[in-house]
Amino acid sequence: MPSRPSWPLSGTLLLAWRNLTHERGRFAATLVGVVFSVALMGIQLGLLIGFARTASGLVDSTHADLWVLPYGTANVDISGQLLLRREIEALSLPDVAQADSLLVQFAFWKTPDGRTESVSIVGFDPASRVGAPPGVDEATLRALQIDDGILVERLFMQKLGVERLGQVVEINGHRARVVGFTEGIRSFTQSPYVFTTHARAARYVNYHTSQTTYLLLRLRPGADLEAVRERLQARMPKTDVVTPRTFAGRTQYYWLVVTGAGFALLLAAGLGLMVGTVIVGQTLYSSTIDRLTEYATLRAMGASSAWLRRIVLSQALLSAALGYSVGIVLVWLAAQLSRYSTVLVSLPLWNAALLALLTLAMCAMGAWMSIRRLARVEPSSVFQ
Amino acid sequence: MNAVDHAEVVEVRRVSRRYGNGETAVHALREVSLSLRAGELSLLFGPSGSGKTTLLQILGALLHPSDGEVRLLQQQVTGCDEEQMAALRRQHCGFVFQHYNLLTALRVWENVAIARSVVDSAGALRRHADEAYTLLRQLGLGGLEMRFPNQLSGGQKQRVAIARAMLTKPRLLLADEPTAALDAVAGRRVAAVLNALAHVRGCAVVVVTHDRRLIPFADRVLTLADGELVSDQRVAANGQMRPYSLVSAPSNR
Repeated sequence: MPSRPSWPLSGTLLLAWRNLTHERGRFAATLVGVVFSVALMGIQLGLLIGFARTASGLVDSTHADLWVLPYGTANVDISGQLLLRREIEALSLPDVAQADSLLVQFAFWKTPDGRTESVSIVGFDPASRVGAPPGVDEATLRALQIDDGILVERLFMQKLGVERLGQVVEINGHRARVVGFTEGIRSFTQSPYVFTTHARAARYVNYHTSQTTYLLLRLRPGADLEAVRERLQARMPKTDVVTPRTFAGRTQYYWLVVTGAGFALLLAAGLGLMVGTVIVGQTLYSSTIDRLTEYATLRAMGASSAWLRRIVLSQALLSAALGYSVGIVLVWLAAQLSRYSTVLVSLPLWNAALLALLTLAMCAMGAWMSIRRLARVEPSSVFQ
Repeated sequence: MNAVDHAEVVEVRRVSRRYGNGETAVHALREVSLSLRAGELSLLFGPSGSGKTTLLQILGALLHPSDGEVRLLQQQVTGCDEEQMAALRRQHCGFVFQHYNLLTALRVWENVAIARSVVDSAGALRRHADEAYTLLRQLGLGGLEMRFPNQLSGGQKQRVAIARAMLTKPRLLLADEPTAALDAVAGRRVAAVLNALAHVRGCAVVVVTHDRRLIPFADRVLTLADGELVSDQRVAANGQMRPYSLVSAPSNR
């Protein structure tokens, strides 16, 4: 007896698989459509998540319980001024254990070849480490004590014309020296973050020594965060006292929603979904039309409408599964490559799961036209 | 020959079928009454447009008549909805088509086994492989099980289609011009299979045909003209035909 296929597939699933693979050209077109769509949606959503993470990265990486901001601050990159005496006001509350100032302000950076780039100066207290860039070791932080010492993000070295440690550069007409590098600290505005001490930052951006941008507060263990926040807010009405989570959300909202950048990414992701739906729908529909006599034969044999629907849905889901498998690898590759780029494509597990759901929905929507057509199949037509 | 019961399988009473309305209405069938029994191979003759296909569709629960009554194995077909009719077909009917209507993407054995999957969708198709292989061997198609339909001759394809129709052991098998696309040798072989299906398996077999060479294989010859049943004859063992009546029905021979 000749060998038999060993795949334990049901009749509808086997027929769906064979219908797909029997027309290789059409199947390839379907898969290309799904892969393209998954890759487009995945990269756009990955960029969106990456942008959101980048936008609020500075807030997320500081280990503070509360932030005190100039009133009405919409994002961490653009802010007014705060007087340092606010520190004393904050510390007057017994539940506040520590208050550190953080200065964030744009400045001009002159590259060795004479170009001017915009940078975002971040001034913090290296002793407390609050506001220090993540992943930087003690030795590098100690190096900031060197006169004019600054830390530059490695991803932006080329943009800023930095070639080596110890290189002397110019910020707003002031001398600065690169004493270390940060790793993977991107900036949504594409103005690289340059870290230095608070005092030096104030000098670079012409702030008075009594001025800063933010206050970062650490509370005593067991303190009621919300109660302290409310009391501080009442005590400092011309400021915004917020949790890091609130400020991160506010910053993301500003950059992604207010500026419309997120909408553009979502639009492109939606376009990917639409293109995929149309391609899957078109190829499935033409396949269904070509096999209408076969479907009518099955209907004549007594197949229920649900049985026929299962064939088309299985075709759609098989296309989704295969297309997704290839597409998600492309997105993962893009995410890996973006680690070496100033623009981050983020692919957390939930994004991969969301993409899988979107792909399934896309293919199911693509099958809709075919299913509608199958509902009108006349079994009696096989005898005409 | 096995003992076969000759119970009534399908009955139509004063069945008419019209297409369209009013003066432009076309009467495909006019008040046809007929009863088909198990173990009987009936040929349905008639010129084009005489209503053969329409009658076949009504007998096979594929089409509702405009008037009249249809009973399939004592069950009323008249009044059933589409899904109920589909259920009746998968439980009781098998179909063989002029152009075979095999599923091009499936292998030969899968084309046969899929009939079982239509009836019982649960489980893997390969559960029905043994049954399909046995049937194909019985029809002289052993060794061709893993081929695709486009790798078979017309006669082979038609026998695969018959195997598919046989797999669910239908009580009623309806065939539309099953030998029309075949040469004489393949046609006789298919006719012999249909004959055995009626006489050995006890199926009621109805064959729409123009091929008078099939008469020696049949028990009964029905002729339609202009939508009316104009003759109903029994085929005697010597090949002569006489009017069909309950007295001459197979059960009473």
